[in-house]
Amino acid sequence: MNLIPSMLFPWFLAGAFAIALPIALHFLRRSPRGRTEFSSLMFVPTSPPTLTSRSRLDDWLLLLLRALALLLLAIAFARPFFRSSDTLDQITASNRRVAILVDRSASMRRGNLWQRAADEAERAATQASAEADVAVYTYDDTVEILVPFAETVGPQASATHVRGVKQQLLDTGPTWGATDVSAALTSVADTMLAWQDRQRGQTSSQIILISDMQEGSQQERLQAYEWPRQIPVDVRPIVPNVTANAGIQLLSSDNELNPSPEQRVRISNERDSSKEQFQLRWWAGAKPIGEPLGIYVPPGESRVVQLPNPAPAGNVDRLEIAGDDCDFDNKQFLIPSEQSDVQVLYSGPGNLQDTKQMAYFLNLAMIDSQRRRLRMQLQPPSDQGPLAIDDDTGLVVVSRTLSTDQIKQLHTYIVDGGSVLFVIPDASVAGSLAALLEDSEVTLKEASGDYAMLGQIDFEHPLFASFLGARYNDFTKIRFQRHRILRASTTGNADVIARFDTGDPAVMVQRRGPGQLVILASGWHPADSQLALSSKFVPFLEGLLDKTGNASQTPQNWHVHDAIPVDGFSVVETPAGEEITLDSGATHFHATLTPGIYQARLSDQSRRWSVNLAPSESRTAPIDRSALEQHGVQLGITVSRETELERARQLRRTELESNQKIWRWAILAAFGLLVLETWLASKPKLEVSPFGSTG
Amino acid sequence: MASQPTQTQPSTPSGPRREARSFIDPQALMRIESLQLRAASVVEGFLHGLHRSPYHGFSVEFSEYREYLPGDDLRFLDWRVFARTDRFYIKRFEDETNLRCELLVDTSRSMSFGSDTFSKLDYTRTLAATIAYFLSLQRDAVGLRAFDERIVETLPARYRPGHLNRLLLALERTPAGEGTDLSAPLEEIAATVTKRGMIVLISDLLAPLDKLDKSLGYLRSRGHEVILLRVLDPAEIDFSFDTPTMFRDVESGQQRYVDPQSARHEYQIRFREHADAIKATCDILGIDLYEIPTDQPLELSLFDFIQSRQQRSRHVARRSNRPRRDA
Repeated sequence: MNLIPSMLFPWFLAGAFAIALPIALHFLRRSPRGRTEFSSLMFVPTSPPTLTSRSRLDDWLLLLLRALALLLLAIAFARPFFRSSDTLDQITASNRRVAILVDRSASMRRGNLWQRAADEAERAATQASAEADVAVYTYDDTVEILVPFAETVGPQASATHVRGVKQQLLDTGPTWGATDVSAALTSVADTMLAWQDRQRGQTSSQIILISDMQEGSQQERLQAYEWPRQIPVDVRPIVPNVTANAGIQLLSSDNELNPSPEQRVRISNERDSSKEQFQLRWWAGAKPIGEPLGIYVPPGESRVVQLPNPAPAGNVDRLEIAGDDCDFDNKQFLIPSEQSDVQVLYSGPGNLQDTKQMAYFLNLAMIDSQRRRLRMQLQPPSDQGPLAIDDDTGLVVVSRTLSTDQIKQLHTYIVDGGSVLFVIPDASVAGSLAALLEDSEVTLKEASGDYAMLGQIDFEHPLFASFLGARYNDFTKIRFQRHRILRASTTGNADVIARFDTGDPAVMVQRRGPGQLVILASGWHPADSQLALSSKFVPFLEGLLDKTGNASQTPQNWHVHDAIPVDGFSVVETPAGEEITLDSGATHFHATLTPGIYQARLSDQSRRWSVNLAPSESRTAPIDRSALEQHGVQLGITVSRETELERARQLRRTELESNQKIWRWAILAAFGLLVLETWLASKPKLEVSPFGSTG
Repeated sequence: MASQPTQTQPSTPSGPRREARSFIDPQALMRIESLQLRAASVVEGFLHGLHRSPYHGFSVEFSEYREYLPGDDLRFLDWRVFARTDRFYIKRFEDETNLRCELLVDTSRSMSFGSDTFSKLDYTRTLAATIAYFLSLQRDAVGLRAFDERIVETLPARYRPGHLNRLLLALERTPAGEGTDLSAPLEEIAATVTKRGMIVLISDLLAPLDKLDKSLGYLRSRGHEVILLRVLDPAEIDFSFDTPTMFRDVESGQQRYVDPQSARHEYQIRFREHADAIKATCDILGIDLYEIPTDQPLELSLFDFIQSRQQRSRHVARRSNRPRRDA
């Protein structure tokens, strides 16, 4: 084995030039040493400095010793060691992976951001592919893989692998989605970590983030994630040329029960915006409605204005803001709220004037809201004819014995999505109830004893969901003086969602398709209970009306990429006019890819939703990359393969040197020489006094 | 006539310097801290050997007594003698005949040079103290004027109890001054010292000669006897350095590289020329010049002084600007 002398810090050998120091000092010795004070130089002639051969040859041994000592010190500092010829060749570089994350959110639609992002991605991919396996991801609020890892590492393979990244990005283009950089980063980091765990040898990972780094990136969620220190993120911000951007957001009315004739709109201007004056206007398709409303919003502030609601007949579908430079977030689509007439059919004892009967209290609870006008219709128990159910009927309340036709009618109504509330007046309705429940073994009996209270309530059920929360879930003040005990064998398909404290069922719900049958074991009139007098009664009825499966009551305004419930619909028409046929049994529609008005259809029924850009996407002011660092992300760049190899070699050299420790011997020898030099220099010499000849 | 008013003692070992061995070593003397004790040591030692000296009988004038005659100033009546003898005697001529000696001490920075353990200034102080002590013993009035470029210390010539102490204190506290400019202080002294007397100028005279004759001439023109004691370090006389080095002029701060071996000869020539020029000036002005190396025992310097006084008593100082033909 050949041993090669090497140095750990060879640049310290430059210290050997310090040998020149004693030599220079040696020469300097010939120049006058010290200074002699003299009373007057008036008689002293000037004499040029003379060099004598004697001074040059004086201390050559000392000079040699000093030079040697310095040389040894320089060698000691250079940390010499011996290595075998193949020691350093066995070092190999780690497996490297680089994930390029390209922001494709809606804010990348500004100016030429997408073009520049694609250029940057191509450049980064080409650079990284020289020594790493490269993958390209795109993200908005979801992460998608554009170019997967090649799994084969090599300059040629990787270069081929990432070729055409730019074109692929340009082809796909940015989406209308919101930005969720935390989800993207954590997802990719987890992927990298999993790969590192699988690898046996050394690994090195890097994430390159190409984004416009807008404020609304939801980077705050990174706080909850412990970022792996071994995966540095190289942030390459794409800064837009235009900075004036304002966003609008439609605000819902704060009072559902008192519909306002005006629409509240929040206009927010970005802090880096160069404009302050904007105009708001309603639009119906390509036609502007009314005059534009000028709004002044200083940069970095937001303002809420009240806009008169457009007339429903005008087919208004959106509100637009004008005056800023970025138009990707200038439109807010909406379905103008329309009040629909909803009929509540009550068939049971009593009339609207009888303050002791249920009908009176039900009528009092008929409160119009922003979306519906309630209308109550009475059908006396004596009327054995068909129930007065029509298209507007949203709820049927029954508290009587029903004929067979009427039961059939109700079955049909429920299956079609209707909601029936059956209030048991007494034990005589057992037959009708059995027929409604389609259970022959239903028995009813009047409960005896003291009053009962609701003891066990399923607040998860939609009927009671509005009472969830400590402030609202106290039902102990409602006493039920009378109630009926229901026994049935088919409680398997009917959920008991509330029980009395005696354990008897109080509220049961049987779902059939989109509709439902709700059974109440006690009435709300004072003879039975205090339910009608309590604050729970109206919300309970609202719950019945909202959760009846009537699709018209579901929210109409959504954001891009939201999943919209489409129970029962078969076709959805997108804003672009494309018709998407839904799978049978599909409960949600997921392809809300662009903002606009979507329409779902089933035969003659149809429903419309507006889908808008997420409000966070309008917050386009750039943030600094340090914001990511504040949330724990490790910023930085992985060292190049060459640097990494060199570091490994240096580590190996350090290890060899620390084992051999030749520097100690060099220091020892230098000290020995210095001792010798000191001894030689201190040998008594003839001292020359400046006053040698005096006296 | 008056052929030897000046006796220059060259620095080369000859004359008194050869006898120096028998006297107190200046190095040992300078180790005595008290200036008074130093002066006393020199004078006592000198007086002890004086009775064997061939120069017996010289002195400054003693006071005389004469009988009181009507018209004499009663202030000068000696009441003690009257008490003893019951006769009136007048202390006659005491004031007039007593010597008034002004010691002019050069404290310029060049005086702080010394190749031995003491500087020229130390030596000069001791010399001045010695002379003052000696004169005080003879009841002569002694004054002191220390100067560098100007007069820094003035003590008028008096003979009083405690005056010697004050003079010695003033000598001791005299700081080393700045450069030497003899002309200004000498002119000032010539203007202020009106009573005729003896002026002893102790200096190294290491200054250009341009104004020296003029300044000394002022003093002489006032009728003063002027004795010039030139204190020199032996190294200044011989330039006895060995090692080439940077030489710094303590007065001007000027620095110059000098190899003494090659420069010594020329230095000595220039120095001697300068010394000769001073001597010539002094000859012309009738000033006694003594060159006193600091390695010379102080008794010899005192001897020089007394010798000068003796010669003064024999010869009348001539005030002439003409060069002496018989010098």
